[in-house]
Parts: sequence; structure tokens; C-alpha cells
Amino acid sequence: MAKATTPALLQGTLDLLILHALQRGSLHGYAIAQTIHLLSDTVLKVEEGSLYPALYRLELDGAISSEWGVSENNRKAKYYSITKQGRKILTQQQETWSRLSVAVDRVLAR
Amino acid sequence: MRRFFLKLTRRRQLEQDLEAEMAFHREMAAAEGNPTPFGNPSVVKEQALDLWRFTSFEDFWRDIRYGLRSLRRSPAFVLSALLSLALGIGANTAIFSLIVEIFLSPPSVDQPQRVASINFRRSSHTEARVREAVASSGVFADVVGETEYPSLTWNDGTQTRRVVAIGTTKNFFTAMRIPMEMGRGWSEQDRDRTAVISYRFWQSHLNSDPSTVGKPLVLDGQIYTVMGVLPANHKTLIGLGYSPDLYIPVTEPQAPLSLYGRLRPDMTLEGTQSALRAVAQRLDAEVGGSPKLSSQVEVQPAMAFAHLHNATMTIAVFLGVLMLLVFLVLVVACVNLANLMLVRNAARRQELAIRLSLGAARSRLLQQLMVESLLLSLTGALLGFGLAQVLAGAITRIDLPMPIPIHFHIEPNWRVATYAAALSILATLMCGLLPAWQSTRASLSSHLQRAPRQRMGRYLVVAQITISVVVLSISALFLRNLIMAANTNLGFEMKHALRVETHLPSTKYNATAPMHAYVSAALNEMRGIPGVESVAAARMLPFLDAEQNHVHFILSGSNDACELSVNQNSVTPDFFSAMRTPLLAGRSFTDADRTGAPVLIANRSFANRCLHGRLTPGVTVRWGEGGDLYQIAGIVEDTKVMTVGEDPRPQIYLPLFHGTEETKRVEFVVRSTTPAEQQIKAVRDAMHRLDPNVAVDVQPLETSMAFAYLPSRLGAGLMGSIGMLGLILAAIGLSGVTAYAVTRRSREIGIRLAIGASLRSVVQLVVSESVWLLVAGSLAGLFLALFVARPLTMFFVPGMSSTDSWAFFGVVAALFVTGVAASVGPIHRAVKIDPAVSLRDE
Repeated sequence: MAKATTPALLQGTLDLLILHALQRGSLHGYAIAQTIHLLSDTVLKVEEGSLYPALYRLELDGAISSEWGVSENNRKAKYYSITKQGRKILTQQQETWSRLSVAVDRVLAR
Repeated sequence: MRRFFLKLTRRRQLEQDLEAEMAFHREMAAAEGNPTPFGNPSVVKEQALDLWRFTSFEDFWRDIRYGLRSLRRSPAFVLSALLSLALGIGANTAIFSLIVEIFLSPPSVDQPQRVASINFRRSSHTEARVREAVASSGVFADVVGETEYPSLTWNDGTQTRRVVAIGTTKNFFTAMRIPMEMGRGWSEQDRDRTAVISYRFWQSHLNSDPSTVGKPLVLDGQIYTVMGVLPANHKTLIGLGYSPDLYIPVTEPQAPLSLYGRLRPDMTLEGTQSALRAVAQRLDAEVGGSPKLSSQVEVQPAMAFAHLHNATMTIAVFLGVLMLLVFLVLVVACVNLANLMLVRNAARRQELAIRLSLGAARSRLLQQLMVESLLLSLTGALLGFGLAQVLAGAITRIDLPMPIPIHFHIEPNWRVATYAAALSILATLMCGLLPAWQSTRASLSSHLQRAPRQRMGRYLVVAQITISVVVLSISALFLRNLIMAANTNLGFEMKHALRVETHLPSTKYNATAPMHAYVSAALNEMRGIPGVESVAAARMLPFLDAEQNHVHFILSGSNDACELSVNQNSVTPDFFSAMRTPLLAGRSFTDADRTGAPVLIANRSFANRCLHGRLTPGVTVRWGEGGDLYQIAGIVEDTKVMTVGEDPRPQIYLPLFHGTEETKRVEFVVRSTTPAEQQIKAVRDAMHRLDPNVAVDVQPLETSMAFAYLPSRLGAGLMGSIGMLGLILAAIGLSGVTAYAVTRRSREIGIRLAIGASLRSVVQLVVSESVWLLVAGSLAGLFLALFVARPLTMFFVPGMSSTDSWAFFGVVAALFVTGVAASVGPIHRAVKIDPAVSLRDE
């Protein structure tokens, strides 16, 4: 696998991406990883090793909630959905992120 | 908060959930051609679940269980650790509870923090007119007064004995709202002849009679009615453990009293003080008088520590020294334990090293090691607290040989419990932190198999010996002081003499004539007893009471004036021969001196101060400006007056019952040729025959004066036992370290023995190490002790130096003997090492 072309996720951006992915509806863990992967045109790849700790942390923080459901292939799967609190966090983080990326672009442009 | 409940409710299920979730993920990934998406699944699991745990708490709990398990495996270590901690913490807590009892216990009144003592012109008692003015001024919500009646007599129907009472104003019990065991205190409406008795008096003299209230009590020939009984833990406003037998109302309206006031609810202590000063200024303007009342007005909290003066200051300093010593003993105990811990941890070196190299945080290992010492010191504190209660109980039961009734009632209280808890935490840190730090560091520095040199252990032993030498030196100084005190020349002889203390009831003996008649008859009566050599009477006996006056003498003939503080006593002619106080010049009193021209007898110090050291009797002096002329009839040797340790004081003696002198209490000295104890019964019978209404107490002079040696005995006893404790702890420590050194070098010793070293050289090898530690510790300790002991001179009798070489020599000798004895066991083991076994061991 061409590891060099997969940039490592910036610290702290995983929460933002997970919350963003969950905005359109509830998803299970695997689907969250896939969604992020696809939405980034397969540039970003979420490490499973960090996905689940992040999900558990977000749940403890009250940003997402979970529920057992049945997957598209008829398996028992845990579905995560974003909470009101999570939406608030998402808007905040989105703002922070855009400010940061604009600033970084600005620096690199000069 | 929400997180807390979430954790509590969902934690259990979560682990299974995660398992299932990851399985699902793995399946989905496998379908897409990635069979191992997680790398190490247990790491993921740990990370995900970690947040949901009460991590630190669960770790702590695990450490406790682990600590308990590992402690259970070494009972000998636990036993010696608990023993030294319990002794150390127990001794500290006991001394602390004594200090709390003496200086920090509030008097038994309602809202003690709102009660203050009132003093004018630095005198303890205030005259009636001022008291009334203060009471009517409205500065205080209530003003009460009290005074001591030290020589009241009580006749129980068969026998008269002396009781100690406090007389109070009629509003005392209502204004102070004093809790009672039975009955009630008197109020303004009750009649004069009422009494409230102490629990102790009720128990020991009235056999805890449940129907005591309402019964009569014959005091000084008058019938009083018992109105109430005070509870066992009653504390007087005077404090310092002063425990009178009973309270009676003050009936003389003009008597000067010690004043106490209850602050008004809207007033602070400072506000009250300035309001009272205004009252004093008004009184000064109205009446005048010098020194002015307003020159010095004091309103102080009614707690003993608030009015420390010279005598109580000495007690405070003594307790301070005691506190310091027991604290040092605790430090020794902790250092001891630290050493044992170090040895224990050294044995776990490999385990610790492996855990560190596997990535355990050092803080986690530190915590685990500290938990062990925490467990030990908490248990030690618990045991120590129990021990302190036993010790305090013993102190409570001690009947101090004092001329005034001092009793302590020590109960466990929150202050003492807090102190013990604080000590245990301190002990944990002292005995646990250093070894834990050291062991985890040693492990980090790679030694996975080889033992690092235990330099720390040696430092600890040297520190321990140093502190032990300090503690031991101080206790040795106090022991030496006791010996010196016992050999001090008092200026009189205590052996073969009885002291007969009499208290004359005021109803019958109300003037000089009947008092004199009684004393003359008593002297005659006792002279007739076989074996009695001489008998004398005096207003006071040394140590038991003293009157110190500031006087001004003018030598007639010259205009030499001599102003000095002098101790004054009144005695009968035979006093000096009965006391065996040498007459240096001139004559003693005669019976004629009582009514004849004024004469006095002075002592050597007086002659030194006022007569230029000339021991020439016959000089006439004028007592004060425009005062009477007195002839100095004789000069006697100095005697001790108040304490064994005091410097010689100028003293003057006057004939007993000269002029219109009166005294309710008369002391007799009965000198006999045979041991004094044999005369007690005869004397008591003779006195009873003479007048059964006089309270008579007969004791060997030595017994009654025992309290004069109390400070040095108490000092020697307390400090001595603490020193002993220190010595034992030092021995334990030394033997532990030697034992460890032997174990550590068993391989070396084995090799030495195998290649033919003699037993002697092996013994030398082990002993020399102990000796070096001893020498280093002793030198440091002696150096420190010389500094620490310097201020102790205030407790010592004259001639006793704080650098007493015998004491210091004794300490070092004792320590060396103990030290060498402590290393005998380990050495014995060392020489019995079988080379084959010890070589195979490693």
C-alpha cells in the first residue's frame, strides 16, 4: 500500500471528521471509517486503532449516542448518532478548523 | 457528575459491546480484503475502555490488595514496623493530649469563648468596690468573682480534714451556666450556706451516695447544704488541672475576688477592653489611689494558655521539650522503618526493573510502594491512638504529690485524633517516600540483576544514630539532674521528721490569742510523745508555701538602705533546731520575743545583701520609711524556699503570732530520733485529743515535700523512658542493617572463608562496618546534642551543667554496647555461612 500518499490525520481532527460523518444520519463504526475515506476521495484513511477509542471518548463526553441495530447485511451492529451537544461541538470545531487552515494557507502562500 | 453516573451504569456492559463491535468491524474489513484492521486488538480495547474506568481509584484499590498480600508474607517486618510506629505515634499523641488538656481545654462553662478574665494592675484579685462598679457598668453581660479557700475544714462526723474550696459570687452558676451531674448550682435566691461538690470528692469521700443532694456538710463548724454535684470532666475557670473539692458562696462582701465576665453578644474582646478602660478611668477620677486602675486593664480569653506567667511558662517549655523529644523518637522510628523498607524493596528490585522496562510509569510504581507504607502507618496510628488513650488514662489516675489539687481528666477528642491522623500521614511520607524513590530510581538505571550498593541504607542508620544520641543525651542529662537534685543541700533535713498540717476552723479560732493558745498546747502535747526530740510550728514550710515581699530596710546608725525581695515566715523558737537549719550567729527566738521588742532572724543571703556579708547579730534595722525598728537577733543558713533548683534567696523570720498575727493554717515539724513513720499515729491521736475540730494531716516531711522533686523526677522519668525507647529503636535499626549487610555480602564472606580466611577476620569485617556507622552517628549526635541541650539549663539544679560529661559519656557507651550487641546475631550467622551454599545462592 502506498503509505506515503496517505497523510496522517492531524491531532484532534478525527473528532471533527467523525461528527461530520454522523451529521447525515446514524452509522456504525465501520461505515464511519468508510464514509470519511470516501468523502476525502480516498485520501484519508482512519486508523481503526484510533477510531474506537475516539468513539468511546465522544460518547462519554455526550457528543454522540449509540444504539444496537441491524446492518445492511443483516448483522447486529452498533449505530452511532450525533446528539444536540455533538452538533454544538461540531460547529465550534468546524470554525476552529477553517480558521486554522486559512491561516496555514496564508503562511504557505508567502 | 453525568459522566460519573454514566460510568457507573454502563461500564459493565461496555466491554462486551466493544468486543462484538470489533468483531463486526473485522468481518466487514475482511470482506473488503483487510483481515487485520486493528493491529493489536487488546491495545485498542484498553484505550477505548480506559476512559470509562475510575482508573486511579481502581489502581489504588488493586495496590491496597497487593500491599496487604505482600505484607502478610513478612509478619516479622510488619510486627516490628507496627511496634515502632505505634510506640512513636502513641507517645506523641499522649503528650499532645496532655498539652491539649492543660493549655487548650476550655473551662466547663456555656460558650467558653465568650468568657474572659478581667484584671487590673496585673493583680489576680480585684477589690469589691471595683467589682461592683464593673458589674453595674454594663460592659459585660455578667460579671462573676471567685477566690480560693485553700484551708477549709470538713468534719465528716468522726474526723476533721482539710478540703480545698473555691468561693464564688452568688450569680456564678447562673451566669456561667455550668453543666451539673446532679442537682443544680445555687442562684441569687438561695441561702448562703450551700455547697456544690466535685465528682471526685463525691466519689472518694461521700461513697458516690446517690442521695447526696440536699444533705448537710459541716465546713469550718457551719452546716452547709449540698445543692449539686459537678460532672467528672468539670474544668475550673482557673484551668491547668486545678480541681477543688467543692464550691461555696463567698459571704464576706468586701473580699477581693478574681473576676470573670461574659461578653455581651454585641461586643468583641477588644471593644470590651476599651469600654472597661473607660470605666477604670472614671473610677480613678472618682476615688484616686495609686497605681491607677486604668494603668493596666486586661480582658483575656478564659483559657489557660492566654495567661501564661512564669511558673506555667516553665511547664509549657518543659512540655515543649518533651514534645520535641517524642517527635524525634517518631523520626527515629520512621527512619528505622525506611531502612527496613529499603531492604524489602531491594529484594523486589528485579520485579520493579522488569515492570519499568515494560513501560510502567514510575509514578505508578511509587504509588504502589507508598501504599504499603500508608497501610503500615495507618494501622500504626490506630494502635498508637489506642496506646495514647491507655497512657492518658494512666496519667489521669496519677495522684501528683502536690500541695494544691491538680488532676487531669483526659478524654479522646477530635484535636488529638486529628493530630494522630496527621502524624500517620507524616510517618507515611517519612518512612515510605525515600525508599520508594530510591528503589524505583535504582531499577531505572538498568541493573537488572546486580544489586546496587546500598549507600542510602547507611546514611539512614547514621541519621538514626545521630537522632538517638540527641534524644539519649537529653534524657541522660535529666537523669543526672535527678541525682544532682537528690544530693542538693536544702538547708534543712527532711529525714526523721514529720509534717503536721493543721487548719483551724474560723468559728472557734478567730483571733491571735486562741490560735496561740492552741499552738502552745499542741507543741506541749507532742513534746510528750516518746521518741520526739523537738517540735516547732511555723506559718509556712519550705516548698509547701512561700510569701515573697518586696521590702525596704534602713540600717540604723548608718543611712544604708537595702531594697530587696525577701521571703518572710513566722516561726516558734525551736524551728531551726527542729528543721536542722544551722544557726550561724546570734540566737534563735525565745517565747518572750513574741510580745517583746520587735526582733527578726535573717539568713546568710540577707546578710550578704544588706549587712555587707557580716554575720554580726544585734544590728537594728528600720523596716520601711518611718517603719518599726527591728533587731536582728540571729543569722541562720540559707534554705531552699520554693524549688530545689533555685538560687539562695534572702529570708527573714519573725516570731509566730507576733503582734496580732493570725493564721488559719499552722504547720508543725516533729523531729524524732527514730524513723518518723513510727510517730504518725501517736501524733495524730495527740492532736485529735487536743481538738477534734481542727483538720490535721500528718505525713513524713519527706513525703509531703516529694513534689519539690517532682520536676526533676518527672523530667527524669518521662525523658528517661523516651530515651529508652530511642535506644531500643536504634538497636532494632542497627541490627537490621547489619543483618542486611551480612546477607548482601554472604557471597563475599563465603569466598573469603573458602580460600581460608580466619573467623576473626570475617567478624572484623562485619563489626568494623557497624563501628564506623556508630562512630559517625555518635559524633554528629554529640555535636547536635550540645546545642540542643543548652537551653535546658533552666530545668536543672544549680551545679548541673548542660555539657555534663558523665551524661554524654554514658550515652555513647550505652549506644556502643547496644550497637555491638545488636550486631552479634547477624555476625553469628555470617560466620556460620557455608561457602558452598552461599556461592550457589546467587
